[in-house]
Amino acid sequence: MRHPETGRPALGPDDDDEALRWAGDELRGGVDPLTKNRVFNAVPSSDDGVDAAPAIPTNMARTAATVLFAVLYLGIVVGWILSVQITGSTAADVFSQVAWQFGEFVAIIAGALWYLAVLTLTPDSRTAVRVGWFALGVGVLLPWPILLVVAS
Amino acid sequence: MSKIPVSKVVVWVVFGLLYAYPLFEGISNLIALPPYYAANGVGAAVPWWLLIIGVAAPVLLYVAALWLGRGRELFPRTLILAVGLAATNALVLSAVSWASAVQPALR
Repeated sequence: MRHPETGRPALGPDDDDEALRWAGDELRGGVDPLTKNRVFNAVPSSDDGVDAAPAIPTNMARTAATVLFAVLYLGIVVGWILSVQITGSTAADVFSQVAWQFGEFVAIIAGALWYLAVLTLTPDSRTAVRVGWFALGVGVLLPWPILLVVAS
Repeated sequence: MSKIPVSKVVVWVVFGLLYAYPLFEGISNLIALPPYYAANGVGAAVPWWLLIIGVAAPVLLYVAALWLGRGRELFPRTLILAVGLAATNALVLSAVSWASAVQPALR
């Protein structure tokens, strides 16, 4: 591998270091003047690996969308808690009553479940995909019983 | 054909039963409501779209949840089915409230 400008073998990524080296030192068994007096890696620096760590892009839009939808989904859960107060089953038998109560209960937790599912199942997805699932959930889970009462 | 784990089948069956109840309710509404409206002189006002949602939502959400869960571990698969079940019940309650809201005065 050759340095693109000097044509000398590229010794390292740092041009400042390279200026203090002679090409071919290693081949002659010579000692690199830069490192001959260093105690190499005597104490592992706490900074080790910082450059090697993958840069995590701080995606403000993604974070903002996740927080915004958290608020919206909280509103949906509250809306369903209010909704089940005004809906009721007219069924007389116990099974229908129990099934109705179960339906009301899962409707209340639907918002929380949907949010957690999107949060945990789209960690590596594109922001648009995550936002799309969040938005779909808002549309599906709108607490119509209470909205219709408020609207009327 | 690869062997299907028992845990997978159990999850399918349990959630299948839980989705079946809203489906049963939707079908019984679809069968009972139009004659009831007709008998009360408002046969033209049957909210067909709500009745269709009541039947279609459990089926579509169950299939969609199975499809989204394919190839995943047991926990995410179960979580997706639970989300679909909760969404189904929310949709059914919404449809019921809409049906009440658009119901004309019975004669």
